[in-house]
Amino acid sequence: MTDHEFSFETKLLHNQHKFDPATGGVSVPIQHASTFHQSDVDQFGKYDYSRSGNPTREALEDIIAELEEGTHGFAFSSGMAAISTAFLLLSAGDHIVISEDVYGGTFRMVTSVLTRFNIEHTFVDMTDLESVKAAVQPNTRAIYIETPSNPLLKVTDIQAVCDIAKKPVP
Amino acid sequence: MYKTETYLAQLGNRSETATGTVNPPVYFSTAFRHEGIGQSTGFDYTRTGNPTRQLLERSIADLEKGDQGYACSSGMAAISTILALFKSGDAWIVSEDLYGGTYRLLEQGFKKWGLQCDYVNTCCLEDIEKAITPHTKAIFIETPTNPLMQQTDISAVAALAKRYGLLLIVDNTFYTPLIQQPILLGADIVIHSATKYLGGHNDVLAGLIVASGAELCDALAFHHNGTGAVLSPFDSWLLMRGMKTLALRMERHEKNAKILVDYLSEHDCVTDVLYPGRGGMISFRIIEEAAVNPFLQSLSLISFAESLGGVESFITYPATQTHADIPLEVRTANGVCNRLLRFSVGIEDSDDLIGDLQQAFAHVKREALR
Repeated sequence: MTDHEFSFETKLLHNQHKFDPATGGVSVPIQHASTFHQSDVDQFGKYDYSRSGNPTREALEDIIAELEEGTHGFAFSSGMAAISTAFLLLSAGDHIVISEDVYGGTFRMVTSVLTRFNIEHTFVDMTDLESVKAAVQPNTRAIYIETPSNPLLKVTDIQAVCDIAKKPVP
Repeated sequence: MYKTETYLAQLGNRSETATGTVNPPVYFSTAFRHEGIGQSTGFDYTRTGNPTRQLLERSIADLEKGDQGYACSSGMAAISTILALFKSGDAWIVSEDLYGGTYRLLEQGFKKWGLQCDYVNTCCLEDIEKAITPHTKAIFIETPTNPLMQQTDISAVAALAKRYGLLLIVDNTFYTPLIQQPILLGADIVIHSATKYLGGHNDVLAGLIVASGAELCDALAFHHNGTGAVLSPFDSWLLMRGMKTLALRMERHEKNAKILVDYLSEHDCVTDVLYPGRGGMISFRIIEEAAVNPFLQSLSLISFAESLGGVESFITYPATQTHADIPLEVRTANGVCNRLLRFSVGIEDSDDLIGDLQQAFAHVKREALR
């Protein structure tokens, strides 16, 4: 039986990391090591330095990627660390469209930090698709949504916003 | 104020009076209850402040003689947090002999947000001053540098920075506050990859920032909290555990390093030995590039691995590991050639270390050299 046949609830427990292959242990072992022994200058092992890759963190990253049906997961030391890293995909001169009803920490990052790196933004009511379309500019590189939003719990139609985001530039 | 060695051994003791615990507790809670609005205990959300992390942050601030400390999830996280102080159009002057990860973040990361970096020999004051423009906002130095072990006169650079109104940021990973306290010499910000000597056991990834000056500290607190790359409570505790023995370990690292510098300097398989005079880091050039892999593969006590500063001895090959992200022409022009090996001398018995090097060099002579 393959994983994709299981329900979400089951996949939370039964995934590629359900047991440790080395010992059979039913809990992911914690690999504290910050670094990894290499046996060859020309061929490095899968892991070299913990920041770049750690088996314990990787287990979490694999599982969340699977649960979210993405291809790769990345684990951070906080939600804001994840958000700030995602925003740093952008370059000076880029623009983002973002939910006006958004967590304060995200608002702060976008308005106080990204602006200094010449990354501009427009806040919109994401539940109003016409406003979303109108906010997109030639230099818009991303749309950022929270749904339900924090704290007014507004629900955005993710598919519809994705259609706007993916619409080919004429 | 006690000597640094004493302070380190006593880290965390007397921090908690409710139980008299000698070893500080780990506060795992991500949230802290308040009795009402405006009635905070000083803690509300763990990213912003955590009692275990705060103990570490106060300790490193004291050790580096700064005003405030900030614990991050890695050395690179610490550097990223500092970069948030700047803006598009700003420029930095940076040591040209530099850890490859720092170079990568500056050239492939912050460059696209508008930060311009000029790499100079920061051991030469004239070279630094020549590079200053109206856009320069900071000087970033490693001293000793990684991996060529070049040393900079921090006081002199600090005086220069002050004259031009620039921030001086010093990466103090190699020497630690036991050997060097840059803030006392005029630096504004000190950073550490605490993964290295401070942790000391290759079992915790962490970064630390210490700063001096109220306005700068407030700005860093804002970004530490906002960027959110903070060190977890457990890792903070683990780091403090390592720091307790830093003085003892550093003493042995340095004693061993000096013995090994003498040994390597005499060996006919070694052309150059680079040692800054203190600490446990040595770089040396092996006689031929072709000898590198056989040498590394023959070592049986010393490990071929990334990282440094741990109790076990490590040798790293900058060309393919720590400095792989620096373009070949740039790193070889700096002297980080394909014969260069960087040795983090551990706390093993020095005769055993010499024995391991001896047999590895012997193997190289038999098998690899013509």
